[in-house]
Amino acid sequence: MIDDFTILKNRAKILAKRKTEGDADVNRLMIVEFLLIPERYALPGEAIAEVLPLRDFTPIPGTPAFVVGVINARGKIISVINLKSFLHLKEQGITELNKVVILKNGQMEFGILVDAILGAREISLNSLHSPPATLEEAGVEYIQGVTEDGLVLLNSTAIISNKLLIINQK
Amino acid sequence: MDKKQEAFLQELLADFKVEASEHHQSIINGLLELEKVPPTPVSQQLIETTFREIHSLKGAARAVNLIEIERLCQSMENVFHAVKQGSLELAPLVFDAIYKAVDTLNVLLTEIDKPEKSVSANTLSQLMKRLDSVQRSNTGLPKMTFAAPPPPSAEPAGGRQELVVSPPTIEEEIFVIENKKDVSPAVSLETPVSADVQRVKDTVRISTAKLGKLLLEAEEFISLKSTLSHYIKELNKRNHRDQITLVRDLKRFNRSMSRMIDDLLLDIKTTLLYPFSTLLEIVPKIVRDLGKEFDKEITVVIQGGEIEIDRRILEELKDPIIHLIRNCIDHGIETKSVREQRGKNPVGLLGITIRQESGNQIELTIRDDGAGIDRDKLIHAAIKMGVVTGESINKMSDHETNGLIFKSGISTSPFITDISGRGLGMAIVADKVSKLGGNIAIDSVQGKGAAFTITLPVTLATFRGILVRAFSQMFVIPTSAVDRALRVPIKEIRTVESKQYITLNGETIAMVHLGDVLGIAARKIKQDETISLPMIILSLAQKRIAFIVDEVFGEQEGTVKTLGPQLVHVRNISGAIVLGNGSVIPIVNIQEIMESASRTSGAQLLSDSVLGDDNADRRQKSILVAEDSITLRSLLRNIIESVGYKVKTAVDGMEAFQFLSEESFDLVVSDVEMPRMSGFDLTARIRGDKRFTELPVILVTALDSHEDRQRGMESGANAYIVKGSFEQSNLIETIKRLI
Repeated sequence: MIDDFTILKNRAKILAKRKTEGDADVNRLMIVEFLLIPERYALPGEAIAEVLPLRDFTPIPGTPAFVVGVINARGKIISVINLKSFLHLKEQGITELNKVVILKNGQMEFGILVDAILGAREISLNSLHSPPATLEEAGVEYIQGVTEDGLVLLNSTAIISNKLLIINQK
Repeated sequence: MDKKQEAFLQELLADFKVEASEHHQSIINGLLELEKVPPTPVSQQLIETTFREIHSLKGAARAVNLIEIERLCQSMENVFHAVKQGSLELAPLVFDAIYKAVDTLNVLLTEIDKPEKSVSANTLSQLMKRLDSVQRSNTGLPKMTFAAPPPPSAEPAGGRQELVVSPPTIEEEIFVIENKKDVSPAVSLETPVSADVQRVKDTVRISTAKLGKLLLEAEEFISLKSTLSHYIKELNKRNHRDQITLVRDLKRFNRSMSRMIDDLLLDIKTTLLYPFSTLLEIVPKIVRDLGKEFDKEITVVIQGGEIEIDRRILEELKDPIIHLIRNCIDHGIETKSVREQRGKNPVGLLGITIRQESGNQIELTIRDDGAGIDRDKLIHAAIKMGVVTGESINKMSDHETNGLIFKSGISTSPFITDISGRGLGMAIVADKVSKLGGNIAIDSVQGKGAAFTITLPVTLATFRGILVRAFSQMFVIPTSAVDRALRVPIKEIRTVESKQYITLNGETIAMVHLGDVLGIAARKIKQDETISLPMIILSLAQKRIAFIVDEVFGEQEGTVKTLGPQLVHVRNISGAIVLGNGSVIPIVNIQEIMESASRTSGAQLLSDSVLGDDNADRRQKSILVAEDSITLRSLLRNIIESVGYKVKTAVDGMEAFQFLSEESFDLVVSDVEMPRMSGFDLTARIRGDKRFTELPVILVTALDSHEDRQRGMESGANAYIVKGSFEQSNLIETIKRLI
């Protein structure tokens, strides 16, 4: 009889096995997919620090329209922006926008509003297409590519390190 | 090994910097004293002390291989050696040469870490030559070479010189080796030796008694943990003691906890107190240097240097104080000849007085007996800069015109020197002082002198602010800037040239609405002669402005937080505090809001003639918005408020229904998908209640199917708006049609 430990060990082995199909590791990327009605977008998982529900926020007067306000994330104040209006994406109707995806790198930290988190998965960078002409108005520099199924992968570096995002009215 | 060696050197260098600045200051103090006293045994003692200080600095510099500093010290030491021996008199010429050297020394010390040096080898050797010639000047005797050897010059001279200098070198070397032995074990114990070395060195001396008390106070906090767990257990019990007892106990617990926290905070703060003298010891030297430069003779009198203040405040005060002193010397105190003409004592007086006003308030006054502020010149400059108009000047009191000096860009000095004339200084001083939670005022009598009075808190207080509401948003106004809060009847508000004013104790104060200045979408209020408006009068650098708010909630304590790296600096907002309930409240930046207020054209909500306005009637109507998404909730609120309705929001159907039974509304706008009670259920409940049969309901939903519309209508809603095709105008039109 096989004991539990052996079963678990075998399972772990199978899980740990690399998928043979597709490309080498360097070309695969873990992404987090989210909804900005009506489009589906994604960001590399490494750029995302956490996802929080938006319960309350404080608007800051005098900031550009894309700055939604600030939130209290466990005692720390984090600003939240509306990616749709920052990227000049077409806005249609009104949407809930009640999730905050916190983006973070060494210097910068802020949240973006999304309508829903659709999940995390791995994609192959080789399968990315260049963005269709309709998306170009949003600024090609912010788009890393588009997957087979029409998911728009955003360029996290171009967004997080964007100087235009920084508000300094000194 | 190399790395270890380097780390060790870095450590030594950090030690040196601390030590060197102490020596440097002692040398300056010695020189200043020496200049005052006649040659007596006292001065002999001073000469000896100063000589020792120079000598120690030289030794320390050599230990860390800072040759230039060492050589400069050597030259200075030679001079003092001659003085000690009685072969050289401390004449003004000698003082000047030594002061020059001390200044250069300071530059060398501050530039230790910088790759580029501003003192060239040439300057240095010139300086040493000067010291050298000064040293010989009184005697001219060749034997002096033996008594005090000349310094090794840039080009090494004869061997004899080397010989004379070398003995101390060996002595110093031995010292270094011993030092090394002493220090190295400690180095290995210390955690990473890096650029933070300087910060590590920034220490506070604290008595063990004080430390012991702090520990005791901190230990008491342990009991808080257990008490709190006790209450949590108590609350979890179904049949807990009756609620009143529990609330009473909790209140008592809260009181004793607050006291414990406050005590500990206060005692920790006192460990950070430093006497003013540590900052003011640089003053005599500055006054001397500037006096020399402007050919003015000035006596400095410092009183109250022993009074203690938070060292962080002291550090921030350095620049403003130096600036004020420079200002007094440049603009205030006249030259000797002018003073004589005016029948004044040819020697000017600069007084610095520190007084402890109350437990947590200190008053620092910098006073001179110079010309005072030239009112006409100041007014002229202010008008030229466009800060004020000619007419408004006539209405201003002397007190107010003097306050103009704190305006950015105003300078009465016709010449732009490196000291003054750019007109930025006083504005910066006022800004710094306000950031420290203090205030600055000026009192000036033309021809007699001027006095700047800075009031400061003793400790960098926990931030305190007045919580207010402006339109629909809450803000915190730093208490330090609040002159007073009051209610003013609308009929007492006067309008002059489309700006509003109130008169308070005979003073005319400009009035604006905080929300207007901050640029928040205004919700106009009905002009009613009988009502009075709450306002907060802010004062900064002698300027007072009344800010209308919509509600004052009282005072709030908290820690100031930044708005995060994306919002580096937002105009009029200096940060935020977090309230007990977790909500974030922006803090108003006093300096900027006062500037912005000066540019805002009056309180819009009153200047509009409200009566007869098409919107007037609508103002009474109130609308209830039920929506679970905070984004949509505030969007809907803004849209509906912008056309003049009163809006109350609820987070779901359940809360909305509760509000409906508490107050009356004219219309309900509701989302469909909500927790606890959906929009369909809410509508059904409204229709099922006799009180609300006529109440119109608009459903806003993401659902866009025929069945959903059908269901909406069946539940009794009057209109159905789909989010995907939502348009602002659409909602407003629908509301207007229904009420």
